[in-house]
Amino acid sequence: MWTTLKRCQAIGVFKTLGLLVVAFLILQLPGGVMNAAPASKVLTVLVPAEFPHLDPGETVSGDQYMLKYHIFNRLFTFNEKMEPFPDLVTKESLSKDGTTWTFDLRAGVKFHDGTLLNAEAVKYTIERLQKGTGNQKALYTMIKEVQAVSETRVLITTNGLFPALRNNLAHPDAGIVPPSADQKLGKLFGKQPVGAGPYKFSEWLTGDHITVVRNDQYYGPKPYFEKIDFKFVSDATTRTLMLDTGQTDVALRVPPNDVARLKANPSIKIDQVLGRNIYFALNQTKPPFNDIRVRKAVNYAVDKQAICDRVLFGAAKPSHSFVEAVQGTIDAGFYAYDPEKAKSLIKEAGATGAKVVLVTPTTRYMLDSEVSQAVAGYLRQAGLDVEVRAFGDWPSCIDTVRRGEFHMHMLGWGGSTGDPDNAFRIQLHSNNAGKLWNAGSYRNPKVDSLIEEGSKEFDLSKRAKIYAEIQKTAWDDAPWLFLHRLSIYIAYKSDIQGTKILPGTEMPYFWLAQR
Amino acid sequence: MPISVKMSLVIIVILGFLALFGPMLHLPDPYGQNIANALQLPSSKNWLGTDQLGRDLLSRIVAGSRFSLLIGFGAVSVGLFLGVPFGMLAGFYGRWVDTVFARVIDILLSFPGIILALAVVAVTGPGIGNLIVAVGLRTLPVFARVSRAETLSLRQRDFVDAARALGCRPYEIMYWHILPNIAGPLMIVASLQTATAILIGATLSFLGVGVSPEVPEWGAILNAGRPYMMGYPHLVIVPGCTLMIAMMALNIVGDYLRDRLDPRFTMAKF
Repeated sequence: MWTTLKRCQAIGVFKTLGLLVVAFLILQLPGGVMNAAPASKVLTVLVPAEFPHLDPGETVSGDQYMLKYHIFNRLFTFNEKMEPFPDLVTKESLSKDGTTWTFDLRAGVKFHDGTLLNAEAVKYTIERLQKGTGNQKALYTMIKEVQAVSETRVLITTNGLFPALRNNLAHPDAGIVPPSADQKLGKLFGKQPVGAGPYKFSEWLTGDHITVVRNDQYYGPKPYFEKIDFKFVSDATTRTLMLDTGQTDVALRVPPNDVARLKANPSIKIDQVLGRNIYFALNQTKPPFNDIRVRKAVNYAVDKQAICDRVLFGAAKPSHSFVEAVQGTIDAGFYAYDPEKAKSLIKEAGATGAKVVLVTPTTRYMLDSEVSQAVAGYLRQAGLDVEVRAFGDWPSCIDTVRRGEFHMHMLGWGGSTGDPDNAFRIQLHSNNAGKLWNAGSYRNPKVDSLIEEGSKEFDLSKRAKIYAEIQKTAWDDAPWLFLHRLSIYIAYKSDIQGTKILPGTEMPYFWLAQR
Repeated sequence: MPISVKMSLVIIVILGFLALFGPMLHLPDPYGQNIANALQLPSSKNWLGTDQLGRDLLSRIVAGSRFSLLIGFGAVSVGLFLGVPFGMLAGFYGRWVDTVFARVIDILLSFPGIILALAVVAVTGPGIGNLIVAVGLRTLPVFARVSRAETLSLRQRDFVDAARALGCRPYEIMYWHILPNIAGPLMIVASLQTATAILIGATLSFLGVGVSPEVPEWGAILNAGRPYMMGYPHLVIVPGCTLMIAMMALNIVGDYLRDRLDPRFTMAKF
C-alpha cells in the first residue's frame, strides 16, 4: 500500500515535470520561429487602455485615435508640425468671401467593403458628425452646409469665416464613413468599423486585442506590415516586462522610472514624445486667487525643474507656454523658482495661512498625484494652507471642478487639431468663465477680442502674431500655475523602423513602419 | 499565556503608544517634503529611507499608526453602536422584526466587503471620516449577526423570564440582562474585526479612494510606493510589513481571546 502510494506520487511528479518541460518548449517556440523566419510581417503593439468603440464621432482616449487613424482616413491629415495637410483632397479653393470651400477628392478610392468613397460619403460623414452626440461635435458646428456637386467635388459652406476648418477635418473624429455600411450596421458600426484607411479592421476580442490587416487597395505607399495586433495590457510594469522578454514589438507609455533600465537593453529603443501641458487652473472668483499677487506667488513658489527631474524622472520639462503643438505657440515666459519672492508676495496680499483646496486626479496624467503633493508641499512652504483632494475616477474629479469646489485644479491639455482657436477659446475666453475648461473664470477683455480676431484670420503669419499676443497678455495675468510639458515614452524593439508620431495627440502610427 | 500572544500584546501596546505619542518623538515632519532628498535608501539620517517626495518614511509610518488605528477602532465602534442594537432587537423580538432585520443583514452581507465600502466611499467622497463610516458599515452586519444569535439563545433563559416577571421593560432587559452576557463574544468579534477594518481601510487607500494621498495612512503609503517598487523596494516593503505585523498581532490576540472567552472552546480545551 505504502509503496504503491509512493510510486503513484513519483509518477505524478514525473508527469508534472514532463508537462512543465513541454510547456516550456511551447513557450519558447514562437521566439524560435521568429528568429528563424526572415522577418515577421506581423506587428504587436501593447496598448494601455481599451475603449468602448471605434466610432468616428466620439473620442474618449488617445489610444482610440491611434486605431482610428489606421482604419479611417480624412480629407486632411496632419504633418509632424500638426499643420493640416491634404489626404483625400487633391485640390482646394476658397471663395472670395471666405465662407465657401471647394474640395476635389481623389478619384477611385474604395472603402474596405468595396463601395466608392465619393462626395456623397463626405457629405454623409459631416452630417453624421453634426447630428451625433460626440464630445467633439463642437468642431463641426461652424459648418452650415455640405453639397456633393459631383462624384469627386464637395462644397462646404461655413457660418462666417472659419480658418480652422481644415484642422478640424483632419481630426480623427472626421474619418470618412461609408454610408451603406453605417446604415446597415447602425450602432454596431463602432464595433466593426469600415473605413478606407491603410488597414482594415479584422477582429476585436473585448479585453484582449484588436487586429487590423493591410488594405492592399490603399492609395498611399503600401504598408510593410501585413497585420497589426493591438493588445490591451493595462499594467505598465507588465508592458515593460513583455517588451523586455521579446513578446511584443511596441509598448506604449512605459513608466519613466523603467526607462533607464530599458535603455540598458540593446535590443530596445525608446522614443520620448513631448505631449500635453500640465497646469493648475486657479479659481479667480474667490480668495486667495482673486488677487493677482497670490497667483504670481504660487508660480514663483514651485520649483518646476525639480518636479520634472526628481518626481517625474526627467519625463517632462517646465512649460513656457499655454498650449503646445498648435500654430502660434511661443515662449510666453517663465516664472523662475523664487521661494522668498513667493512668500513676500503672499504676505503683501495678506493671504498668509489662506485655505486652498487643491483638486487632483490620481490616475489620469503621469504621476499626477505625486506632482500634486509636491506642489502642495511647495505652497505650504510659501505660507498657504493647502488641502489635497484626490479623485481616483476622472468623472467625479470633473464634477467637483464643474461645481467650482476648488481653489486650484490640475488639468492637462494637448492640441488634437493643431488649431489654437479651440484651445484658447475653451480655456481663456470669458464666455466660458465658470464652465469647463475655464472653470477658474479667467476674464480679460483684451484676450477675448484677440481670440475673436484670431478665429477669423486666414493669414498664417498674422494668426501666429495674434496668438503670441494672447499668450503674452494672459501669461502676465497668471491665470494658472504653470507646471510642465509631459513626455510619454514609447518603447520599440530596435529592429522596428519608421514609426511616426503626431505631437499633439501623443499618438504613434505604423503604416510607414517596417522591420 | 503563550509567548506569541505576549509578543502580540507588546506590538499592539507599541502601536497604541506610537499612535498616541508619536508626534512627541521629535521625528522629521511626516508631511515635510524635500524633493532634493527624494528616494533615499535607509541611512543613519533617515532610518527607513525617504519616499518619492523626500519625506522621512519612518515618521510617515509612525504618523500612519494613528490613522490606521483610528480607522480600525473607529470602524469597529460604528459597527458596534449600530450593529449590536440592530441584532439584539431582531433576536429579542423575533417574528416579523427578526425577519425584516435578518433580511437587511443578509443583504448587507451579500455584498463582498470591499465592494460595499467602495460604493459608500464613491458616494461620500474621500476623507478619513467617510472612510471610517464606509468600513464601519462593512463590519455592522457581522456584529448584528453575532448579537442576534446570542440574544436569540439568551431570551429563553430563566433569568430573562425572571426579569420580565419583575416588570422590567424590554429595553431594560436588553440593556441590563442580555448585553452583559453577550459582551464576551462581541469582544472577540471586535478584536478580529479591528484587524479586518484596518486592512479594508488600507485596501481602499491603496485603491486610491480612501484618504487623500498625502495622509500617511499605511495603505496610502503602500500605494504611493508602488510605481517605484522596482528601483526602491523599501517604499513598499516597509508599509507592507508594518501592515502585516499589525494584522498578525491583532489576529493572534483575537484568537487567544476567543479561546479564553468562548465557552464552547473552553469546554473543548479542558
